[in-house]
Amino acid sequence: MKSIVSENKDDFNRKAAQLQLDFRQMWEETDVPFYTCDKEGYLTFFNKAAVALWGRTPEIGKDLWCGSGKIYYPDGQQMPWEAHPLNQILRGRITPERQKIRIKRPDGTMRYLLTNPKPIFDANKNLMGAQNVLIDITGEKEDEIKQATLSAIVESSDDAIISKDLGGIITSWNQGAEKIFGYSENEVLGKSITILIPPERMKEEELIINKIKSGQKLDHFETIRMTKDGRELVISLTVSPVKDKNGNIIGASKIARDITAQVKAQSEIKKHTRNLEILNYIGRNISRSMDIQAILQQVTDATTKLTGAAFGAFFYNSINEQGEAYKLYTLSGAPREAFEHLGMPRNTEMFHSTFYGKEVIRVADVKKDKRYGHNKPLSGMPEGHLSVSSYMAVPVISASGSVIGGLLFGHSEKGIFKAEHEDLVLNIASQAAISLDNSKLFEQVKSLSAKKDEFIALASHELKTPLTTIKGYLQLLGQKESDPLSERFLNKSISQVNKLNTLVEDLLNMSRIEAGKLDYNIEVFDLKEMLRDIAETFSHSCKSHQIIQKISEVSALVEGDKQRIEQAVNNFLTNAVKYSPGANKVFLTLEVGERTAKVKIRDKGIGLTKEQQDQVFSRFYRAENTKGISGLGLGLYLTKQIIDRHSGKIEVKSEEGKGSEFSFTLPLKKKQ
Amino acid sequence: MKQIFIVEDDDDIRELLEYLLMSREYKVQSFATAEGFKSYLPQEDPDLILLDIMLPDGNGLDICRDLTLSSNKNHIPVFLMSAHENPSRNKEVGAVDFISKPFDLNDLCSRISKQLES
Repeated sequence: MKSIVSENKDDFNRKAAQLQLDFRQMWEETDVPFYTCDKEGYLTFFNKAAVALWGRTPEIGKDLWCGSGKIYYPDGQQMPWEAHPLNQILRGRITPERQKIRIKRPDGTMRYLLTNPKPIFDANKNLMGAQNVLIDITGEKEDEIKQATLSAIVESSDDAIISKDLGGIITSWNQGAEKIFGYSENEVLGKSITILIPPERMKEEELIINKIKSGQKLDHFETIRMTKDGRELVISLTVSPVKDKNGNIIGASKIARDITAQVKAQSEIKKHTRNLEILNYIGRNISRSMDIQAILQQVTDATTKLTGAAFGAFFYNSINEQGEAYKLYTLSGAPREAFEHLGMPRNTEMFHSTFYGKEVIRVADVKKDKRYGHNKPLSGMPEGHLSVSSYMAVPVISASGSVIGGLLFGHSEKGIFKAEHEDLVLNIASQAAISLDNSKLFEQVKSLSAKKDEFIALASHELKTPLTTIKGYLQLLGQKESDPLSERFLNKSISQVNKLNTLVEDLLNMSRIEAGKLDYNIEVFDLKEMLRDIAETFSHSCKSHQIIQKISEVSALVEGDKQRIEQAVNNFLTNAVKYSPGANKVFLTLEVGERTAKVKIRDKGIGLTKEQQDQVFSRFYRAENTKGISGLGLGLYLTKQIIDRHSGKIEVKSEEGKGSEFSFTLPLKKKQ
Repeated sequence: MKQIFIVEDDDDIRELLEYLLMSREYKVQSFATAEGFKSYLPQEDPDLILLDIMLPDGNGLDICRDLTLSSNKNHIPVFLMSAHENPSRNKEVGAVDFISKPFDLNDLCSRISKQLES
């Protein structure tokens, strides 16, 4: 019979064993990873949840401390096994509760764990081993890291990254925003975003918020924002809606980039490009132009544009009989009436040095300049003067150093003109000066040429008056009865007077051709009839040569100046006789074609070399072998001019020593 | 006897023309200035006027145009004379002929007689 005590003890032991089994079963089934080890650290128990967490099934009594692979501190450093929380506990060291560790699983993934190690004692308080409950905190930890990374990115960005709620109240503010706008985070959190918006752009915020509310994004919107110290910045803005977990729009994130420098650089480039274009244009055009007024106008327009002046004027130095005066020449950007009633600017203290070529004057505010207002009686701008604050005056100096004039620029705003404008205008002014010098020379040459033509016209008239008298009286003498010798002498004299008259006529015609003033009296006439008349007259006056005619029977109606064509034919015939002293015949031919008539004059004279043929129609050209034969070298030049004007073609064929053939064509009048 | 007025400022040419035309049996009245001619003109109508263009106190072209436009003198034929040829302008002012200087005496006389015969 078992004693009751013994019975009770057995019962107790059985119950305890059952309880242990129940606990063990419970630990095995639970989702909480749990394991135990003996006092050396060898694993004695682990549940399914622990296996799932470790990613492997360790061996009981073989694996130490933990079922995973290597273990790490939360910052990623490897943790030695001595530092494992269970190890610490078994050595009697106090470890922080819920210590965080990282484990590496066999597939290479990492998990973050919280450990809860506890020592295990037997009934006699002897250390048996330790237990550990693990909590997987991987998800939380990863979110935390992501958050920290994002904050770091936001903080370190050079762009301003700001968030605001739908009421426009600032909810976050990064260092970039502080750097760009000058406000610290503390100063702006909870304040309205409108502190950044210039008053004239307040409407923009309304538009932006409305866009955000409707879920739209604003991309690279260029606008102006204000800094704490009131500077205006050009910024590029991207605003996106911020949504909560349920997709409701709760605010906006805003990324602003300061593009002031970029915009400024771009506009500088644009400005420089435009300046270059203008400089190029003006350089090309003023050197081409010979008209002073046109040059001045172009220079005034271009420089006014380049300097950004409201108006520009070119005052040209011209001195009148009273010894002083400034003539207003050209204006740009203001009507002439705005200047006409004002005095010339040279005599004032303000303008004096510009117009005497000393220096460029550039003032930001003319009324504050010490040179302003010193001239009585006005002591300032006269009534009706254009409103001017910014003022610049640049002298235009010729190559010889004399001051040609001055360019004046004005603007109603202050501080418009900069040092770079001085350089630009000086550059153009020096180019203009060269062109103006050239035009002045050109004008002088033109005026001299006109004077020459005038002189020749007058001289020829004056020469012809005595010629008329001499010829007339010689003819009267010839009509008196006289001896044959006297008659011969008289005829020689008359012939020389005629020659002299031809020379004077040639000179006059040449000067008229040069000046483009040779008049043509156009009529329709028959070239055939004309040539027959010429031949007949010629045979009476020329005794040395016989004229052999081969003139077409068909009439040749042409349109032209009959007198000048006659002059041309006579000139060819006279030359034919003149340059064939050894011969006694000249040949005159007319061939009538379909569209043109051709007149040929041939002689058997001294002829022309190839080189002489090339030059025979040039002005003042006389062949070298013509010594003893008089002439100015104008006849063929004038003849060519006349034929050219009639759309005809003039030609020479010649062989030295054998003779020459000159020919010209004239277009026939079209049959109606 | 046909009467011819000569307006010519050069003394020698005027004398030459007077001598020539008188020897051809014309009645000649000559003037050295435009003023002298204009003041005499109302008194008599000649059969022809020989008019120089460049005069010290006037221009033959203007005088010729005035004559052409006048109601009582426009029947008188005018010959313009000049050392500068410009036939087209002469037609414009109504001259019937143009004598370019220096002229040929025979040519001048034949043109005058042709004109007076017609």
